Amino acid sequence: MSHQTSPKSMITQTYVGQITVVGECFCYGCALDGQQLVYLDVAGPATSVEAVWAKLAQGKECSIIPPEHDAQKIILRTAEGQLKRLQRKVEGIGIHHLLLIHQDLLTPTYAELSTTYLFLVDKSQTTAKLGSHIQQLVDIAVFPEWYAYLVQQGRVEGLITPLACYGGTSLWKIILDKTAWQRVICRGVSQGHLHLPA
Amino acid sequence: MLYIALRFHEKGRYESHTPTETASRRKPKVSGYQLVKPNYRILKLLVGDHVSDIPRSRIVEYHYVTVADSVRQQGHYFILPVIDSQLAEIEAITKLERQPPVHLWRDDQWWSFPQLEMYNTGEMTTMRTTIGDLFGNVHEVREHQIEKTGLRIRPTYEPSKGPGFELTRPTANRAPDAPANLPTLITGNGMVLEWKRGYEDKQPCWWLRDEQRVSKAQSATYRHYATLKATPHARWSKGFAAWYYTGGSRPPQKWLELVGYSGVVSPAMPPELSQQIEAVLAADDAAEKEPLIPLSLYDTHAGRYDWNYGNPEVWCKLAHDEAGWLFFIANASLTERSLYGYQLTLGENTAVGEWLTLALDDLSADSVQRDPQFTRQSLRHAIEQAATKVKTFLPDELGIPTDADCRRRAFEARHQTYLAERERQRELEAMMKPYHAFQAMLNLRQAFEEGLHHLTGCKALPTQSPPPLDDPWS
Repeated sequence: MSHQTSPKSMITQTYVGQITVVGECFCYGCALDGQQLVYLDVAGPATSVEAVWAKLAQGKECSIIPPEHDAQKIILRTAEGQLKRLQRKVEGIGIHHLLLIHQDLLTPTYAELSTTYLFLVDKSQTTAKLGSHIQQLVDIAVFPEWYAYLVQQGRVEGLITPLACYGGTSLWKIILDKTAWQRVICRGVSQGHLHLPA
Repeated sequence: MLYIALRFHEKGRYESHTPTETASRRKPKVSGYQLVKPNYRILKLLVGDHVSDIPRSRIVEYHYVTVADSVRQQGHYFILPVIDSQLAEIEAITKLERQPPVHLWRDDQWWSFPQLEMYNTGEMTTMRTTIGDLFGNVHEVREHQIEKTGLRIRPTYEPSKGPGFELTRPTANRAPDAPANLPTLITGNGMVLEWKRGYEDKQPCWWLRDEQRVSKAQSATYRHYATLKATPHARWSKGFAAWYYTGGSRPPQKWLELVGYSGVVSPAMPPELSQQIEAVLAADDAAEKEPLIPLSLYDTHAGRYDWNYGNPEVWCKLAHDEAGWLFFIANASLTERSLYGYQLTLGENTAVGEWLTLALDDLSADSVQRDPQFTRQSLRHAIEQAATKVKTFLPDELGIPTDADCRRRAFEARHQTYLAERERQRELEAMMKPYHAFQAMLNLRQAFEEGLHHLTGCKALPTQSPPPLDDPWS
């Protein structure tokens, strides 16, 4: 079985605004699930970037000031221990790039009612990722042909909802509700929208 | 001989502005006196030859002078002899001042010079006090009537306290007149008790010290420290290392005992004579009549009279045997020499009572007796007591309410004011009701408008139509 690799696609980065905790750093993408921060893309001097991380890790809030004069500031909050920190130094310009990503996005839990998140960069890739989540979740067989239908019905049922995103990224929230997804599949099969592969 | 006492403000060393030959920039200091202006003028007038100015700049309230040693001083005062012809000139100066610190010694007492004084003109004026807060709200405006004061020249000499000491003839250095029948120096038990004149204007006093200056452990006076310390008017002088006593010309008996002075035995009075004296004193005491109402009673009950709805408290009971009345005093004025109270006249089978004022002088002490057992109590109670004794009348006939009745009346009066206040509030509420309703409407409208604005400001909700199957993420 050959290992098929799809080309990597880039998450769009657009300047959102600046965060000032210790010095200034710049935000290039952000996504919020209600009040909970899911994704944050920040670059700046090491101290400033780490100060943002430290403040959020303590459960305090900080805010992004958009460059537009009349725009409202974006307030970032998180519960403690929810975010995974990925940091690296951009060589040559002495800037640190920090990514904060929600743990549910990295390690989804299937055993109980939970949520996970998906980046919508490449639609087919995202569909496939959703399909694999559902395959892991439900106890019945799920075929790749069904994925588009599942996305459509998931959105109708409110199992897939978009997050508030800034800076060109697009994240979606998936509710990993086993019974709800099984019901969607059963209904599709019984109504003839889903067919078993020949 | 007349003297005047002229107060100087301060005695010290003052910088002088006189040019000096030395190159030093420091101003030379001259010891001298600081005087207020009128005193300076008087001093110049009386002993101009002995006074020279210390030139000073800037300070104009005071004058600074040096005075020759021949001018007599006592305390903070120059004591200067004057003659009658000079008085007119001094008066001309003091008449322009209020309470100038100048005093005249005449006829063995101090007099203040003619001077300006404040007096009440008798004209009334209104003073208005406004009590408010920072925000300009006025809470209360009070008006007081006060009498206007004016300034006038008092043309007469008045007796005054003067500098606070009696002027005596300046005495040469001589031993102070020690108390009679005591030596001025008593030595004994390692201590010396000595009568010594004071320095400058200090009074002479008794000093108790060790015979020799010895250490504390060997000191005889320190051994008796507690006794000496407990003596009134006795103090320890650190400089002289001695105790001194300012309580009088005779040292305390304890001190005489300490130095072992027994004194001369005074001739004893024969017992017959002392008995005779005591008898005379006793007769004097007996002749002195006890007043009808002792002063202590006035003092304890002064200003405590209140009407209390017809049943005030009375604190003294007088009984007239011949006229047959009882008088219960509620209030007494010593200045007007009058008594205000309730007079209860007891007839054969009747009793009549009325409130009236009696002059204290009209009551002859022989016929009127005070009941010494009588204590402060309510009038009703006092009348009931009298009724139980006489048994000819009932206290209800007099119309004096009982204590409970009085309390009820007081409560009713308070209750009436409370009801009036309640009624006033209710009226105010009724009056303000449309206003409050209007306010509520206004609030409601505002809330509605805000809600509407919020609703219309929201973006349109996404449609719930299912996304297309070929592009479910759109």
